[in-house]
Amino acid sequence: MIEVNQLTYKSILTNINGQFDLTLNHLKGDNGVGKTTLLDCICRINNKYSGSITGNQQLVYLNQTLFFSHKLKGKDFVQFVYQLEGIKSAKQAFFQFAEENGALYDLEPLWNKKVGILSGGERKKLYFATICSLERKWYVFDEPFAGVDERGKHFITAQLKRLLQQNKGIILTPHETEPLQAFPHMETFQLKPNELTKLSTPISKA
Amino acid sequence: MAIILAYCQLHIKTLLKEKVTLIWSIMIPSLFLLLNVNLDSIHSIDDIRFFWVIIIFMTFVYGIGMHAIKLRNYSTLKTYFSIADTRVRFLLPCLITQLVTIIISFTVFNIIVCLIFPFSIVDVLHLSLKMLLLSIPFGFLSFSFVLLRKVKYETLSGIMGIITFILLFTMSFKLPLGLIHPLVYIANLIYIESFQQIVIYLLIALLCLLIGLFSARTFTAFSEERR
Repeated sequence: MIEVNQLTYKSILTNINGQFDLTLNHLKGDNGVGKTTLLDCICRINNKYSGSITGNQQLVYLNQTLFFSHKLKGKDFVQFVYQLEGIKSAKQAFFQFAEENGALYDLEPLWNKKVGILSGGERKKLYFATICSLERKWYVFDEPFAGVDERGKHFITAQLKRLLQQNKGIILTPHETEPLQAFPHMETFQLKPNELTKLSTPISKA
Repeated sequence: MAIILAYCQLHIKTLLKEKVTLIWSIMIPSLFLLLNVNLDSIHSIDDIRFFWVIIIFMTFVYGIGMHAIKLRNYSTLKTYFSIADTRVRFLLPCLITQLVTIIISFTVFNIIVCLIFPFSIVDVLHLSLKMLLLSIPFGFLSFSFVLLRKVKYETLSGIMGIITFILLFTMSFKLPLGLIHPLVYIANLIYIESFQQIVIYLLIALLCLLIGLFSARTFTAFSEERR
């Protein structure tokens, strides 16, 4: 469980409290209310807050956009991430993951393309797939469906299901709620200025 | 170790993608020597040490401190640390990559120096590497730029340009009140011999290391400019 206690950051987040269980957690909120800021704090990117966050040691975080040298290639990103993880033969491991998850057709062409010339959706697919192939307890996704085509959304949804089957925890902040209809059981949180409220009912039934 | 290797490899790949900039930064001290210096003013290896210190200073400032701020402001550090919180171990690969760059710069520069002047390549290499080793703590110190949270890369780049100009311009000046010019101090490190000089250097080096490690441990990867 990730527990947020009395979290305050500037005037954006004030005394935020909440508990995220090891399941699918949907963080809702209007634009600019501080969803990304809250995720940045949970994921230890932003450490200049007051209050405390516990249980957030083993996580990986998908930002809204992949910020990586535009002159390097998709393979350089994957190799870098896998090297950080101590995974050898990145190409073999990544392509095996892509094949097992039915995404080889989409991901293979991105391997030798420069990050700068990838479309927003292609970048998101590469980033998402790389992150999902890592072994963590928690996966945090900021706007995972934004800019992704239908096949990409299907892939993302399938990956979320796979992670849930493996008893992983997920926090995501999509403005697009249509893909979430595939998940009848999830915790929904509403972030408002100075308040994080847990909504008990699922948004939809499959 | 895997993390340090991953960052080193990434830094080297990024450097090699900017070939013109890389070659220019390696060649500029040699070009400066050939084009702007009165060759009669260089009588011994001692006179070369000011070129070495400029290479070290520029590489540490722009390759470590400024580089880290640039990566943070462009949110690249956010991507890196979103995968694994490696902020403490991010410093060392930056330093290693820049040390490699300095060694390449030194090699090119020293070969040209030895082609022009009747200096021993062994002595030149020995003294330049001695200066490099003794200046490593200042590489750690340059990482403290990341503690400047709200400053924009472009603004800091301008400020550093002015500071660099002043430091280079005043290198031959005798400073008032017994003040020691930082670049002259580093250039003269190759001559420290007395116990007092060694103790002062060790204290300064320790302070630089501590400031660098403190910066690496506490800095935020959170960009104030974009997310």
